[in-house]
Amino acid sequence: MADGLASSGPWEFEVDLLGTRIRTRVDDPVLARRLQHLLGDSQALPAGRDVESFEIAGADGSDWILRRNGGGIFRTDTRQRLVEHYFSILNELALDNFSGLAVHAGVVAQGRCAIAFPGPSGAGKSTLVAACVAAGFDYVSDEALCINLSGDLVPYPRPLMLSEASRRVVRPTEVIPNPLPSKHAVSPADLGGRASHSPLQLTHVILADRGGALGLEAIPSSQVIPELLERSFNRHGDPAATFNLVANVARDCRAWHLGYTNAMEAAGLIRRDVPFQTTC
Amino acid sequence: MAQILDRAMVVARGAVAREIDGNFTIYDKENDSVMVLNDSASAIWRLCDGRTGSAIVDELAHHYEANRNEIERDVEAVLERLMTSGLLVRDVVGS
Repeated sequence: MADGLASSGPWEFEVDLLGTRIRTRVDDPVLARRLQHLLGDSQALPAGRDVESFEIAGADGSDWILRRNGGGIFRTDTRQRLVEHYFSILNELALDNFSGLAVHAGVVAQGRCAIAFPGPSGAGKSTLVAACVAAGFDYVSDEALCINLSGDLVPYPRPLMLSEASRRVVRPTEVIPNPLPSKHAVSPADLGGRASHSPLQLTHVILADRGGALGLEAIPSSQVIPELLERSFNRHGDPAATFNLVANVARDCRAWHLGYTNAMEAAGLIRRDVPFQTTC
Repeated sequence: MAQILDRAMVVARGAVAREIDGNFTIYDKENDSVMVLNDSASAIWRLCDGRTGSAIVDELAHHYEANRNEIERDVEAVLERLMTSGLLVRDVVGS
Protein backbone atom coordinates (compact mmCIF):
# COMPACT_ATOMS: atom_id res chain seq x y z
CA MET A 1 0.00 0.00 0.00
CA ALA A 2 1.09 3.57 -0.65
CA ASP A 3 1.08 4.41 3.07
CA GLY A 4 3.33 1.46 3.88
CA LEU A 5 0.65 -0.54 5.68
CA ALA A 6 -0.10 -4.13 4.70
CA SER A 7 -3.50 -4.96 3.21
CA SER A 8 -4.43 -7.19 6.14
CA GLY A 9 -3.96 -6.65 9.84
CA PRO A 10 -2.86 -6.36 12.48
CA TRP A 11 -0.96 -3.30 11.29
CA GLU A 12 2.42 -2.47 12.77
CA PHE A 13 4.75 0.51 12.49
CA GLU A 14 7.81 1.85 14.26
CA VAL A 15 8.89 5.40 15.02
CA ASP A 16 11.77 7.00 16.85
CA LEU A 17 11.08 9.68 19.45
CA LEU A 18 14.22 11.34 20.84
CA GLY A 19 16.10 8.05 20.61
CA THR A 20 13.37 5.83 22.00
CA ARG A 21 12.14 3.28 19.50
CA ILE A 22 8.37 2.83 19.63
CA ARG A 23 6.69 -0.18 17.99
CA THR A 24 2.91 -0.09 17.74
CA ARG A 25 0.53 -2.81 16.55
CA VAL A 26 -3.06 -1.82 15.78
CA ASP A 27 -5.98 -4.03 14.82
CA ASP A 28 -7.88 -1.20 13.12
CA PRO A 29 -6.63 -0.01 9.70
CA VAL A 30 -8.21 3.45 9.95
CA LEU A 31 -6.60 4.14 13.31
CA ALA A 32 -3.31 2.61 12.17
CA ARG A 33 -3.18 4.98 9.20
CA ARG A 34 -4.10 7.97 11.38
CA LEU A 35 -1.40 7.21 13.97
CA GLN A 36 1.18 6.63 11.28
CA HIS A 37 0.21 9.94 9.70
CA LEU A 38 0.47 11.77 13.03
CA LEU A 39 3.85 10.22 13.78
CA GLY A 40 5.09 10.49 10.22
CA ASP A 41 7.53 13.29 11.03
CA SER A 42 9.27 11.08 13.57
CA GLN A 43 9.98 8.21 11.21
CA ALA A 44 12.90 9.79 9.40
CA LEU A 45 14.98 9.92 12.57
CA PRO A 46 17.68 7.28 13.19
CA ALA A 47 16.74 4.20 15.13
CA GLY A 48 17.09 4.42 18.87
CA ARG A 49 18.35 1.80 21.26
CA ASP A 50 15.30 0.99 23.34
CA VAL A 51 12.14 -0.58 22.02
CA GLU A 52 8.80 -0.03 23.65
CA SER A 53 5.89 -2.04 22.26
CA PHE A 54 2.26 -1.01 22.22
CA GLU A 55 -0.81 -2.90 21.10
CA ILE A 56 -4.08 -1.19 20.32
CA ALA A 57 -7.28 -3.19 19.91
CA GLY A 58 -10.81 -2.04 19.29
CA ALA A 59 -11.73 -3.04 15.78
CA ASP A 60 -14.37 -5.46 17.09
CA GLY A 61 -16.57 -2.53 18.18
CA SER A 62 -16.13 -3.00 21.93
CA ASP A 63 -13.93 -0.77 24.10
CA TRP A 64 -10.61 0.52 22.83
CA ILE A 65 -7.72 -1.16 24.67
CA LEU A 66 -4.07 -0.05 24.88
CA ARG A 67 -1.40 -2.47 26.14
CA ARG A 68 2.23 -1.53 26.75
CA ASN A 69 4.93 -4.19 26.51
CA GLY A 70 2.23 -6.82 26.86
CA GLY A 71 1.41 -5.54 30.34
CA GLY A 72 -0.56 -2.53 31.60
CA ILE A 73 -3.96 -1.90 30.12
CA PHE A 74 -5.80 1.33 29.39
CA ARG A 75 -9.43 0.89 28.39
CA THR A 76 -11.80 3.57 27.06
CA ASP A 77 -14.95 3.78 25.00
CA THR A 78 -13.73 6.50 22.63
CA ARG A 79 -10.99 6.38 20.05
CA GLN A 80 -10.03 9.99 20.75
CA ARG A 81 -9.33 9.34 24.42
CA LEU A 82 -7.26 6.30 23.50
CA VAL A 83 -5.21 8.37 21.04
CA GLU A 84 -4.70 11.12 23.62
CA HIS A 85 -3.57 8.59 26.24
CA TYR A 86 -1.28 6.82 23.76
CA PHE A 87 0.48 10.07 22.86
CA SER A 88 0.70 11.04 26.51
CA ILE A 89 2.58 7.82 27.30
CA LEU A 90 4.82 8.22 24.25
CA ASN A 91 5.66 11.75 25.33
CA GLU A 92 6.55 10.66 28.85
CA LEU A 93 8.72 7.83 27.54
CA ALA A 94 10.56 9.99 25.03
CA LEU A 95 11.36 12.76 27.50
CA ASP A 96 12.27 10.37 30.33
CA ASN A 97 14.77 8.58 28.10
CA PHE A 98 16.30 11.70 26.55
CA SER A 99 19.79 12.21 27.95
CA GLY A 100 20.20 15.88 27.05
CA LEU A 101 18.37 18.98 28.15
CA ALA A 102 14.61 18.95 27.60
CA VAL A 103 12.73 22.16 28.31
CA HIS A 104 8.96 22.52 28.28
CA ALA A 105 8.63 24.75 25.21
CA GLY A 106 7.11 25.13 21.80
CA VAL A 107 9.61 25.28 18.94
CA VAL A 108 9.26 26.38 15.31
CA ALA A 109 11.83 27.09 12.62
CA GLN A 110 12.54 29.13 9.56
CA GLY A 111 15.18 27.45 7.48
CA ARG A 112 17.80 26.34 9.98
CA CYS A 113 16.93 29.00 12.57
CA ALA A 114 14.75 27.81 15.43
CA ILE A 115 12.62 29.82 17.85
CA ALA A 116 11.62 28.45 21.26
CA PHE A 117 8.73 29.56 23.44
CA PRO A 118 9.33 28.13 26.94
CA GLY A 119 6.33 27.98 29.20
CA PRO A 120 4.28 25.79 31.52
CA SER A 121 1.31 23.62 30.57
CA GLY A 122 -1.72 25.69 29.73
CA ALA A 123 0.30 28.77 28.78
CA GLY A 124 -0.77 28.53 25.15
CA LYS A 125 2.42 27.08 23.65
CA SER A 126 0.67 24.62 21.35
CA THR A 127 -1.73 27.29 20.08
CA LEU A 128 1.13 29.69 19.42
CA VAL A 129 3.14 26.98 17.67
CA ALA A 130 0.11 26.00 15.57
CA ALA A 131 -0.42 29.64 14.63
CA CYS A 132 3.25 29.95 13.65
CA VAL A 133 2.98 26.80 11.50
CA ALA A 134 -0.15 28.22 9.87
CA ALA A 135 1.82 31.45 9.28
CA GLY A 136 4.55 29.59 7.40
CA PHE A 137 7.08 28.50 10.03
CA ASP A 138 8.21 24.87 10.06
CA TYR A 139 7.15 22.71 12.97
CA VAL A 140 9.73 21.40 15.46
CA SER A 141 7.73 20.63 18.63
CA ASP A 142 4.78 21.83 20.65
CA GLU A 143 6.14 20.17 23.78
CA ALA A 144 9.89 20.33 24.27
CA LEU A 145 13.04 22.13 23.29
CA CYS A 146 15.58 19.30 23.25
CA ILE A 147 19.32 19.99 23.30
CA ASN A 148 21.73 17.08 23.30
CA LEU A 149 24.92 17.03 25.35
CA SER A 150 26.86 18.44 22.38
CA GLY A 151 24.59 21.46 22.39
CA ASP A 152 22.71 20.52 19.21
CA LEU A 153 18.98 21.01 18.91
CA VAL A 154 17.17 17.69 18.46
CA PRO A 155 13.73 17.99 16.79
CA TYR A 156 10.85 16.43 18.67
CA PRO A 157 8.02 16.57 16.12
CA ARG A 158 5.37 14.73 18.07
CA PRO A 159 1.80 15.50 16.89
CA LEU A 160 0.51 18.85 18.08
CA MET A 161 -2.01 18.40 20.86
CA LEU A 162 -4.66 21.05 20.38
CA SER A 163 -7.79 21.78 22.33
CA GLU A 164 -10.91 22.62 20.39
CA ALA A 165 -10.43 26.29 21.31
CA SER A 166 -6.87 26.20 19.96
CA ARG A 167 -8.03 24.65 16.71
CA ARG A 168 -10.62 27.36 16.30
CA VAL A 169 -7.95 30.06 16.74
CA VAL A 170 -5.81 28.56 14.01
CA ARG A 171 -8.56 27.32 11.68
CA PRO A 172 -11.66 29.40 12.46
CA THR A 173 -13.67 28.00 9.55
CA GLU A 174 -13.07 24.33 10.40
CA VAL A 175 -16.10 22.29 11.40
CA ILE A 176 -15.27 20.05 14.35
CA PRO A 177 -17.83 17.27 14.69
CA ASN A 178 -18.79 16.21 18.22
CA PRO A 179 -16.01 18.10 20.01
CA LEU A 180 -14.76 16.54 23.22
CA PRO A 181 -13.11 18.37 26.11
CA SER A 182 -9.87 16.48 25.53
CA LYS A 183 -7.13 17.45 23.10
CA HIS A 184 -6.93 16.53 19.43
CA ALA A 185 -3.72 15.24 17.90
CA VAL A 186 -2.94 16.96 14.61
CA SER A 187 0.07 16.89 12.35
CA PRO A 188 1.67 20.04 10.93
CA ALA A 189 0.37 18.91 7.53
CA ASP A 190 -3.16 19.04 8.95
CA LEU A 191 -2.50 22.75 9.60
CA GLY A 192 -1.19 23.31 6.10
CA GLY A 193 2.43 23.28 7.24
CA ARG A 194 5.31 20.86 7.56
CA ALA A 195 7.87 19.65 10.06
CA SER A 196 11.46 20.83 9.84
CA HIS A 197 13.98 18.22 8.81
CA SER A 198 16.96 20.59 8.63
CA PRO A 199 19.80 20.59 11.14
CA LEU A 200 18.63 23.37 13.41
CA GLN A 201 20.28 26.11 15.40
CA LEU A 202 18.35 27.76 18.22
CA THR A 203 18.64 31.46 17.44
CA HIS A 204 15.75 32.99 19.37
CA VAL A 205 14.00 32.42 22.69
CA ILE A 206 10.69 34.22 23.17
CA LEU A 207 9.12 34.63 26.60
CA ALA A 208 5.45 34.80 25.67
CA ASP A 209 2.93 36.58 27.86
CA ARG A 210 -0.58 35.66 26.81
CA GLY A 211 -2.94 38.40 27.84
CA GLY A 212 -0.47 41.24 27.41
CA ALA A 213 -0.69 44.00 24.82
CA LEU A 214 0.57 42.90 21.40
CA GLY A 215 4.25 43.69 21.17
CA LEU A 216 7.68 42.15 20.71
CA GLU A 217 10.60 43.58 22.67
CA ALA A 218 14.25 42.53 22.73
CA ILE A 219 15.48 41.63 26.23
CA PRO A 220 18.93 40.61 27.56
CA SER A 221 19.65 36.95 26.77
CA SER A 222 20.43 36.19 30.39
CA GLN A 223 16.80 36.86 31.29
CA VAL A 224 15.70 33.61 29.65
CA ILE A 225 17.95 31.48 31.86
CA PRO A 226 15.64 31.30 34.91
CA GLU A 227 12.67 30.44 32.67
CA LEU A 228 14.58 27.74 30.76
CA LEU A 229 15.79 26.20 34.02
CA GLU A 230 12.36 26.40 35.61
CA ARG A 231 10.81 24.66 32.60
CA SER A 232 13.41 21.93 32.16
CA PHE A 233 12.04 18.43 32.63
CA ASN A 234 15.25 16.76 33.66
CA ARG A 235 17.54 19.23 35.43
CA HIS A 236 17.53 17.43 38.76
CA GLY A 237 20.01 14.78 37.64
CA ASP A 238 22.87 17.27 37.39
CA PRO A 239 21.61 20.81 38.03
CA ALA A 240 24.98 22.52 37.56
CA ALA A 241 25.51 20.83 34.18
CA THR A 242 21.99 21.79 33.20
CA PHE A 243 22.70 25.39 34.18
CA ASN A 244 25.76 25.40 31.94
CA LEU A 245 23.80 23.94 29.01
CA VAL A 246 21.05 26.52 29.51
CA ALA A 247 23.61 29.31 29.78
CA ASN A 248 25.14 28.15 26.49
CA VAL A 249 21.70 28.25 24.89
CA ALA A 250 21.12 31.78 26.19
CA ARG A 251 24.57 32.92 25.10
CA ASP A 252 23.99 31.77 21.53
CA CYS A 253 20.51 33.19 20.98
CA ARG A 254 18.61 36.45 21.03
CA ALA A 255 15.87 36.87 23.60
CA TRP A 256 12.49 38.52 23.31
CA HIS A 257 9.40 39.28 25.33
CA LEU A 258 6.15 38.81 23.44
CA GLY A 259 2.82 40.15 24.61
CA TYR A 260 -0.29 38.92 22.83
CA THR A 261 -3.89 37.88 23.10
CA ASN A 262 -4.47 36.46 19.63
CA ALA A 263 -2.03 33.73 18.60
CA MET A 264 -2.41 34.40 14.88
CA GLU A 265 -1.56 38.08 15.37
CA ALA A 266 1.43 37.06 17.48
CA ALA A 267 2.65 34.68 14.77
CA GLY A 268 2.37 37.46 12.20
CA LEU A 269 4.35 39.80 14.45
CA ILE A 270 7.08 37.20 14.97
CA ARG A 271 7.27 36.58 11.24
CA ARG A 272 7.57 40.31 10.57
CA ASP A 273 9.89 41.47 13.36
CA VAL A 274 12.19 38.61 14.39
CA PRO A 275 15.34 38.82 12.27
CA PHE A 276 16.69 35.61 10.75
CA GLN A 277 20.21 35.29 9.50
CA THR A 278 20.46 33.96 5.99
CA THR A 279 23.22 31.62 7.07
CA CYS A 280 21.08 29.51 9.37
CA MET B 1 27.92 50.28 56.02
CA ALA B 2 31.52 50.23 57.09
CA GLN B 3 31.22 46.70 58.41
CA ILE B 4 30.35 45.02 55.12
CA LEU B 5 32.78 47.19 53.14
CA ASP B 6 35.61 46.13 55.44
CA ARG B 7 35.10 42.44 54.74
CA ALA B 8 36.99 40.47 52.13
CA MET B 9 34.59 38.32 50.13
CA VAL B 10 34.84 35.45 47.71
CA VAL B 11 32.41 33.47 45.62
CA ALA B 12 30.73 30.67 47.57
CA ARG B 13 31.65 27.10 46.60
CA GLY B 14 28.09 26.33 45.52
CA ALA B 15 27.85 29.28 43.14
CA VAL B 16 28.31 28.76 39.40
CA ALA B 17 28.61 31.97 37.39
CA ARG B 18 28.23 32.50 33.65
CA GLU B 19 28.85 35.78 31.88
CA ILE B 20 26.56 36.48 28.93
CA ASP B 21 26.74 39.77 27.06
CA GLY B 22 28.66 41.34 29.92
CA ASN B 23 26.22 40.37 32.65
CA PHE B 24 26.54 37.52 35.10
CA THR B 25 23.93 34.90 35.85
CA ILE B 26 24.64 32.97 39.03
CA TYR B 27 23.37 29.48 39.77
CA ASP B 28 23.30 28.49 43.43
CA LYS B 29 23.73 24.72 43.71
CA GLU B 30 22.86 24.71 47.40
CA ASN B 31 19.43 26.29 46.92
CA ASP B 32 18.86 25.35 43.26
CA SER B 33 18.15 28.98 42.43
CA VAL B 34 19.28 31.47 39.82
CA MET B 35 20.07 35.17 40.08
CA VAL B 36 20.51 37.38 37.01
CA LEU B 37 22.74 40.37 37.78
CA ASN B 38 22.36 43.75 36.13
CA ASP B 39 25.25 45.82 34.78
CA SER B 40 26.39 47.36 38.06
CA ALA B 41 25.99 44.16 40.08
CA SER B 42 27.95 42.30 37.41
CA ALA B 43 30.77 44.83 37.67
CA ILE B 44 30.86 44.28 41.44
CA TRP B 45 30.68 40.47 41.12
CA ARG B 46 33.63 40.52 38.76
CA LEU B 47 35.74 42.08 41.54
CA CYS B 48 34.74 39.65 44.31
CA ASP B 49 38.05 37.84 44.29
CA GLY B 50 39.01 38.15 47.93
CA ARG B 51 39.39 41.92 48.06
CA THR B 52 37.39 43.99 50.55
CA GLY B 53 34.25 45.92 49.73
CA SER B 54 36.21 49.14 50.12
CA ALA B 55 38.77 47.93 47.61
CA ILE B 56 35.91 47.19 45.22
CA VAL B 57 34.63 50.75 45.72
CA ASP B 58 38.13 52.10 45.02
CA GLU B 59 38.40 50.10 41.82
CA LEU B 60 34.97 51.14 40.54
CA ALA B 61 35.53 54.79 41.50
CA HIS B 62 38.75 54.68 39.50
CA HIS B 63 36.96 53.46 36.38
CA TYR B 64 33.55 55.11 36.54
CA GLU B 65 32.69 58.79 36.68
CA ALA B 66 30.20 58.47 39.49
CA ASN B 67 29.93 59.96 42.94
CA ARG B 68 31.95 57.84 45.38
CA ASN B 69 29.13 57.86 47.94
CA GLU B 70 26.75 56.49 45.31
CA ILE B 71 29.23 53.78 44.40
CA GLU B 72 29.61 52.87 48.06
CA ARG B 73 25.85 52.59 48.49
CA ASP B 74 25.59 50.39 45.37
CA VAL B 75 28.45 48.13 46.45
CA GLU B 76 27.09 47.78 49.95
CA ALA B 77 23.59 46.91 48.69
CA VAL B 78 24.85 44.38 46.14
CA LEU B 79 27.28 42.71 48.55
CA GLU B 80 24.58 42.53 51.20
CA ARG B 81 22.18 40.84 48.78
CA LEU B 82 24.77 38.42 47.41
CA MET B 83 25.88 37.45 50.92
CA THR B 84 22.30 37.02 52.13
CA SER B 85 21.66 34.80 49.12
CA GLY B 86 24.70 32.71 49.98
CA LEU B 87 26.47 33.47 46.71
CA LEU B 88 29.31 35.35 48.43
CA VAL B 89 31.05 34.33 51.65
CA ARG B 90 33.61 35.99 53.85
CA ASP B 91 37.15 35.16 52.81
CA VAL B 92 38.53 33.66 56.00
CA VAL B 93 41.93 33.11 54.40
CA GLY B 94 42.40 36.66 53.17
CA SER B 95 40.89 38.49 56.15
